[in-house]
Amino acid sequence: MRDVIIIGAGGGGPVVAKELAERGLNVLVLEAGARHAKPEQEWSALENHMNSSLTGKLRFGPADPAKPAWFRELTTPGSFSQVAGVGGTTLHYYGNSPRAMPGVFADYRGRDRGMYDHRHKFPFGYDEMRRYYEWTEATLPVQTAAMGTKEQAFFQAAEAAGLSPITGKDITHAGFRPQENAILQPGGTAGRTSDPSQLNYPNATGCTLCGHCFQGCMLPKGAPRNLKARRSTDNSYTPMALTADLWKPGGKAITLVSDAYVTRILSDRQWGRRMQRATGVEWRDVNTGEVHSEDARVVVMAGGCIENPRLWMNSDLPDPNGWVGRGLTDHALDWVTGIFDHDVGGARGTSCSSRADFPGYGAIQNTANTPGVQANNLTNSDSGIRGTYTNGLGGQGAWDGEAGRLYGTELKEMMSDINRQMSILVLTDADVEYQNKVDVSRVFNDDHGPVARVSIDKRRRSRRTQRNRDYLATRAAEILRAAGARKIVRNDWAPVLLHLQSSMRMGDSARNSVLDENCEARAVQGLFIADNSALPNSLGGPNPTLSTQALATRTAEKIFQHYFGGDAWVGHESPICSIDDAVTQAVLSRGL
Amino acid sequence: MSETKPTNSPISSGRRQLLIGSGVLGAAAALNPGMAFAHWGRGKGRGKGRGRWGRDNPQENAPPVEWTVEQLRTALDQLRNDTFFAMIAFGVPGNDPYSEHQGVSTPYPGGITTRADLYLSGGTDLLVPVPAGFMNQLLASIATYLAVKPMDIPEMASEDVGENGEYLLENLNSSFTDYLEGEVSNSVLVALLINLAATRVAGSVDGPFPSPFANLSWEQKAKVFEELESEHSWLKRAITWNIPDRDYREATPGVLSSMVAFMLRIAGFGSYCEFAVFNPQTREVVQRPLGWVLSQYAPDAPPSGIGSDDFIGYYQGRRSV
Repeated sequence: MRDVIIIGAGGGGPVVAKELAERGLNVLVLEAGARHAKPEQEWSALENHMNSSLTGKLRFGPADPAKPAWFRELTTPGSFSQVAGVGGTTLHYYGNSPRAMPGVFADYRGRDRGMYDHRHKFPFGYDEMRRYYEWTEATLPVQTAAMGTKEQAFFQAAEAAGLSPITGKDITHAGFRPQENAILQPGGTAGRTSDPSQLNYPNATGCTLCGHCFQGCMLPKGAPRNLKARRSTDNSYTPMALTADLWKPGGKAITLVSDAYVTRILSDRQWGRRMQRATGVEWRDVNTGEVHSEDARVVVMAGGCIENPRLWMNSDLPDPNGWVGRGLTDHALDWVTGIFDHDVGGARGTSCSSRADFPGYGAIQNTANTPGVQANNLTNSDSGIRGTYTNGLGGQGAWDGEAGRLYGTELKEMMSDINRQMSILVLTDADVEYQNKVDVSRVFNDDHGPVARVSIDKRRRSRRTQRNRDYLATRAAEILRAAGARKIVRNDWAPVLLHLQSSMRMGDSARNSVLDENCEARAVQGLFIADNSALPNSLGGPNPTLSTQALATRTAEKIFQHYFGGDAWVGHESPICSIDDAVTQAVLSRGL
Repeated sequence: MSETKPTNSPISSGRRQLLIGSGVLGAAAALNPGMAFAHWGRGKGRGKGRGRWGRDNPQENAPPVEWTVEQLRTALDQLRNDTFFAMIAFGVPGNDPYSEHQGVSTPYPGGITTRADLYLSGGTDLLVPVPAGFMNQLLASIATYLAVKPMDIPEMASEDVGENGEYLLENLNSSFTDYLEGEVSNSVLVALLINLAATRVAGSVDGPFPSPFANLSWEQKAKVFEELESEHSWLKRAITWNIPDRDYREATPGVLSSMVAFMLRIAGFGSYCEFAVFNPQTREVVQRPLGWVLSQYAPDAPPSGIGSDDFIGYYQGRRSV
């Protein structure tokens, strides 16, 4: 019997794995997708090769490229942008690691407290969360991002638009700032040259400003896995978990099995159908079809906001209050782009190193884009085609014309010089709403049972969510205008299911949450959740990965305390950084 | 001659509209122009009287044509290709015949030159694992709907096409039914739906291409997608009108929305990514992709860059907060 089985090696699972491996527990991690063990020999910097949701290396699908991607049903317009495999969706994230807005925590007493989703707050206070943030930020590590052409243009524009800089990690007021990124900042020749012969480790360390975060980070070339620039969990927490016995006295390396799709959580019924106890898991080898099972004292779900409800339902686990899969949030993402008469570095430098935060509304961030992704972003909308039809939407405002997708010659003109574009991603503080949900399809099945079905109807979002989104699009357009944009377009995206949160939410009330204040399932003892789905809300808008990782650290502590009689360590010990020399030596000696 | 013809099953008005409006008949005729109607064809130009069905035109003396499923498959694959070329020209126009015909073109190449049409059809086929039987139910539902609420295309669907024409339509319908019971690609289904919407939007869709959609102007193509994207479109009503399986009926609008959204979005992605010039052995482009040329991205490629010299410093010198 294992001490702990963790389902999923994405943004959250490896955090629990590393923390508990460090405590010497016997941990098995099961990952449905690929383990990209040799990225320099497997990956490229090319969009279709890496990012195609159907055939790309970083897709939600099996490792074998000849097999189709795993399908999920959508009942309303939208698209998925998630990744399976060790690293999960952090394989294509930009490393942005802001903390959540303090206003979404239980103890917030600020004058603007009425601005937040007050019915779905964190069941504990921000001060408690802060120490887990600090631990996680030190482990990854999180660093203040360097500035390139587009960041400089964004900061100047934000200032001209009347915003002031935010100078701490806590978001205390509306303002702009360099991103706090889980990316090692440039050292040596990195960022100073585009000559590939000069960019090998150790001449170059950290981020080379290649702009290919979305294609997966394998740079600098020749660097040990834990010293690759971006701290996706395949480069940070997973190498630590696989070598915990080598860098931590008393530590025990985890067992990692990829291509292992968990199809059922095994449980004992204890007190009737309303309360069960998790006893293990059953999984299917994606390559051979063989079915395996193992028992464990504790099971941790970390398969993501869409797969967790599916697994729960396919396992016939109880749902006494009807909130399994409910309350899905997605930051109601949107896209605003300005076109300039001069070069603003639209496709140069890092993927995303500048942002502005607006407490009570959400956040915006400036991104660099490769051509296919940018064309994809400009053609995504459910407000029709600009200048022709609007689908009853097509809002007008600080941008030019009606919101909608660019098509035909307008798209081609907009794309005619990618470095003269500045694009801003809108991250909305979106309400938890019962009707936004994940359940299982009645039509579509795959080898692992009925597939997940996702319903997130943009037209029925709460008034506050829509207000926040419009507010942020307006602020984005104002910044672009201040920067001197000749033309500004708002796409009004159809839902892009990338920043997903809260589909298995924790909460202080048993009436509207699946998890208690320790992230343990209220209806299944010994079953925890440690990914974005456990978050109680949309964090006020900030990117979710850091908060998920901090919460997963807290969850690991709770598991260790409540099931293994251990003590808490955060606040009592110093974290070991994932780029510590001891970790590097362990990674090299294990041949990772 | 009619005395020697085998008998086909009579064809309902809805099914007849489906075959004509979705471009199935046009595609079949394009593959074998002698099959049916000597004076029916897709002539160049957009004037009235070109490419119409007509009372005076059936080729009464043509030999009977028995369409095999494989022949029909070839015809429908070509219809799909034609439709997708037109789709790419709609999204990223260039200097190709499809762009020029729609009245919106550019003096330099567009998405068709990158073969984004192949990307689009391959992607559409992989997008949704449509269960067997689903498409048949869906198209049968449309035919039932059209019988009740016919399209306003009297010159194509309602008039007498002559005895021989009637026979050939029946034969085509029979082969089409057999075809749908086999393996049907999503891309063909989507092409049929787009063409059906094109026929409904524009009524008569004459022109040089077998695909009704390809013969539309750019503005008319936008109207097709307005119809396809609308929450309350007639096509969504039609495809759910008579699907007997309740679960299929509930899932259908979402599946259609996904495919339509994918078509619109991927026309852009496919045109600007490296798809057409990627070498899987080297994991590198063999030449600079056209999308990169059009967007002035990575002027020194290939190879793809692994770093830049864009480092300026840190905002206000702040290395940490």
